[in-house]
Amino acid sequence: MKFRIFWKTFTMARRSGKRFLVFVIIYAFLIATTAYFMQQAWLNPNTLFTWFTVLVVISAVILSSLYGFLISNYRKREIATLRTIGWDAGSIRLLFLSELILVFVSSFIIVLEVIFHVVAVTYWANPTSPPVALESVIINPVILIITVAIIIGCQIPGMLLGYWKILKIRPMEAMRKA
Amino acid sequence: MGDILICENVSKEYRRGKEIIIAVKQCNLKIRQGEFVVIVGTSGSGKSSLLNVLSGLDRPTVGRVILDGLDTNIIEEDMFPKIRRERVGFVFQNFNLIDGLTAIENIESPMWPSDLSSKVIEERALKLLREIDLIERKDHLPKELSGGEQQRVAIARALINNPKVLFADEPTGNLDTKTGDDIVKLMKRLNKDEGVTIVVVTHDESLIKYADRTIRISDGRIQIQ
Repeated sequence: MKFRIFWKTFTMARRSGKRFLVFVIIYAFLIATTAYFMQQAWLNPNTLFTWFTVLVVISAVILSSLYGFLISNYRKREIATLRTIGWDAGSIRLLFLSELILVFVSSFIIVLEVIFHVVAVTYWANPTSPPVALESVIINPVILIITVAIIIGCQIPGMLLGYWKILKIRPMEAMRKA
Repeated sequence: MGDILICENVSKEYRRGKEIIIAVKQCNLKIRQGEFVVIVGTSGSGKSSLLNVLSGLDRPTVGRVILDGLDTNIIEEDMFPKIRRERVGFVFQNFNLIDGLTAIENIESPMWPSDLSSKVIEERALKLLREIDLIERKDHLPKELSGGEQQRVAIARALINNPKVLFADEPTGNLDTKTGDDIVKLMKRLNKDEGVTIVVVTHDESLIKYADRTIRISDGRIQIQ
């Protein structure tokens, strides 16, 4: 039954339209910039890129907290209704977590897709260039994996904020007249 | 038929800033299984607070409520979701359908956290969709349904768990007279056919004609039963 909620949340998030799309794009941008700055900081130590990386990581923490806050605020009535119809705290937490996972995975896929296209276009434009020379335009897989781990870590404050806010929503709120 | 809902000397107080508001004052009430009860009162009379307390959404400040044999004062907070899922259903004035779910998914949603298989849940939902005559609209999102259709879906959602009691807070409040009348007729039919106890809270006097019993509430007190 946990899988059922997980799956249905994906459907709900997909249908939520703008909110979902906006956050997917922002997260994709965040993953790409973090990875890019980290790679540059690695190749050119003691430059401004190290600070840029820190800056982007801080932005990721702020963004995930904002997302946690927005989800619980926009979906207050929905969550209160779910509590009224018998959803327990665990199921509602899963609903929130599934949306977060879906946003993150979708943004990651977008970043990968963009990287593949950049590689393809670069090769097409300059077929003699070997793959190693592309380091300045593509992101090293190891850096990408580290970025994913960092961004997942950055989700924790937002996730905790969201959990806390969601559990504060009382089922009675569903009875409030619009 | 036995009493499904007993309310003994119940009062409910709220704190608004420094002020204490007594929304429900020493209410005593018994509702029998299979009854269709309408609680009528003007705005601010305490009828919605009474419904919240009766349904276990809120605990009384004083007194006790026994819902299907369970004293809501002594039930652990963690147990309420299961009780709501298995024993009660809710219908709201604003329908409160989940925007991202289709009609059939909205009806199924209370059962998703249960251990029942998806097939069984779907069969139940389809049966209810036929009963409310919306089978051909099952894959429509709430925004694609009219107010009356949304409320019918909300009623089906409230009934999917075969509840003992269905609580409705101003179920016709956002509907025109004709549609509102159809909704109450549907609830009355389900009350007769399925034997589900229905407690409706409203300010609309025209719903009284459908009630087995009418309870009037004014200034937090039950006036006539």
